[in-house]
Amino acid sequence: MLNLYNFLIKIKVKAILYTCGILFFIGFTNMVYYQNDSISIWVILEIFLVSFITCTIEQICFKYLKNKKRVIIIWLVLATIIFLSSASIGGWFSPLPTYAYVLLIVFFEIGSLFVYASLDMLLNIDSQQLNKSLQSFQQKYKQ
Amino acid sequence: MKIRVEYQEDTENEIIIRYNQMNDEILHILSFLKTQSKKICVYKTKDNLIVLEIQKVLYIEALDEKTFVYTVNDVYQTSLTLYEIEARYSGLGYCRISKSMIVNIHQIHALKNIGESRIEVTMNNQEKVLISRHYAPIFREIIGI
Repeated sequence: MLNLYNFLIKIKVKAILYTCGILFFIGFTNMVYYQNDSISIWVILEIFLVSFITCTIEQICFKYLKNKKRVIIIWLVLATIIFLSSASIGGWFSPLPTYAYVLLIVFFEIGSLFVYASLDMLLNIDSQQLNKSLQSFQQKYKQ
Repeated sequence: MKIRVEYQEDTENEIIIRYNQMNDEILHILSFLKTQSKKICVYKTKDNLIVLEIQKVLYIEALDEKTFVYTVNDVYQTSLTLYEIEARYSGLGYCRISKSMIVNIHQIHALKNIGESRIEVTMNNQEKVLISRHYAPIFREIIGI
């Protein structure tokens, strides 16, 4: 039960981030193209549900598949398909032309790559600090 | 017997035993210091005990109610529990990294943060072990980060 709770907590946070990202994109394009500053509540709920499903798949992929780079590529492809088809079915961009879908893909892929690249960079920085501290510990307290 | 502890800056830790006559009490203390400080008693078979230098141990793992001591080339067993090993040798660079494992920090080759608050440890013989998220903050505190 505790594992499920931890699992859901991680998904919830990311799902909200993805929802905010997509809402920002839709809001921005609506404002620029139609000078429309409103988004339907049903669209918002749909976006959150789709984000939640995508994050669940992401958590499962990263937990059970070993090769990290391959996992990222598989997940990006799956997430792109899920978001695009949901945007098409749900009519998130219905007043907008087809190129908005293309922009969404680009926005999504670049955003995701930046997220993973920055997470990777943070881990590498921390690893370097760990090794530096380890070496000074080993020097200081030689057995 | 008088016991005196003196602090002196910039000197190596040293134990000096002054005696006018060697007796059982002094021998017992000497034996305790020699066997307990930097050695661990291990075995492959119970009729063949080995006293191992503590710095040669890579890590110690508890499995199926037994405690295994891993060096670069060999695996031994010890009658000590992980709790006892931790209590005796934590001051010599031994650190608990999970419920069933203690690692010798001086035999660690490299560390890597693998996310989710876990750290991957590469030992000097290139074996990899994991520091669990529960013990990672304690390990970080020990190495001073």
